[in-house]
Amino acid sequence: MTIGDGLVAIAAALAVMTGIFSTAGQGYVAAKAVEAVGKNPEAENEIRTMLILGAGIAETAAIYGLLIAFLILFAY
Amino acid sequence: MFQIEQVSILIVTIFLAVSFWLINKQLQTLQGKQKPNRIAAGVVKLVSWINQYTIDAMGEEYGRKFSAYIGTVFIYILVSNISGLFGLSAPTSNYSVTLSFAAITWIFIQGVSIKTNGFKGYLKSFLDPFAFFLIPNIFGQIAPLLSLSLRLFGNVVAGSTIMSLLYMFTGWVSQFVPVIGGFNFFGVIVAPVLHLYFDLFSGFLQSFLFISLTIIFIGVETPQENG
Repeated sequence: MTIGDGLVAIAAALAVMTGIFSTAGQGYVAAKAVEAVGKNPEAENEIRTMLILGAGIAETAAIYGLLIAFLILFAY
Repeated sequence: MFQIEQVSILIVTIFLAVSFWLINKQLQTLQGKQKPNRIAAGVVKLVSWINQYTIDAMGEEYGRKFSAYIGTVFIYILVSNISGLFGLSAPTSNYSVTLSFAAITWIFIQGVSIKTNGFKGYLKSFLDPFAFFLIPNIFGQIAPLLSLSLRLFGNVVAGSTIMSLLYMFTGWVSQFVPVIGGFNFFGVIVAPVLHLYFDLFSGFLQSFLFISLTIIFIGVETPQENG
């Protein structure tokens, strides 16, 4: 274990922190979806589709961060 | 240079081809009012759902042409993502495969844009609203290609890496149990729930997201009837 290994571990941990804002964004999407179903209970199926689609797109940035963390960890 | 995913691609393709041929044979030999069996009925429902989803978003004319490509990509990416459960190394965990899918989609997007606006109109669209928007517009065209491929690749690779790390950890923990140590029983208890999320849910969601984004990107370029 050298200083280089420790720095690589710190870099991977920093890269994975993009998940913080991704989780906040997905929680906001779910909150708005629940509110929309409360206002209009008949459109539940379309709202559910939009919820899943929106949450999947908002998760993209967290996946980029995780991918970079794996690349740093296993290539250095 | 041999990559292990080539074997998985071969196995997935053979499996899909044989199952399509069997279902087609079942559907062709129906007579009159005979009901198809459950799998064939499910496949008919899936195809009608894909047709309806595509035509809703893309308009009638382009929807009919593209629904075959959309359906193929959806079924292929779904089966590829799930094949991690069957011991294969998932084809989509190789960046070449996801880049190929995203590249075909990208060629379709540019092709529909050229066909709608004409070649000169397509080149002019890079210069609006100002002339020095050329470089941001070029990046705006390349971004869907990169994001589609990296999203699918990242999800599948992250899932399989996390599962292999979990199996290594439970193998290390299981060796302390005195009598049946050496057999990774702890992993067999803990892993199925995580497989449910990483392989089944994530695989289905990523394939659905891929085709939804493809439909939206192509649908933006088609001529609007009420525009």
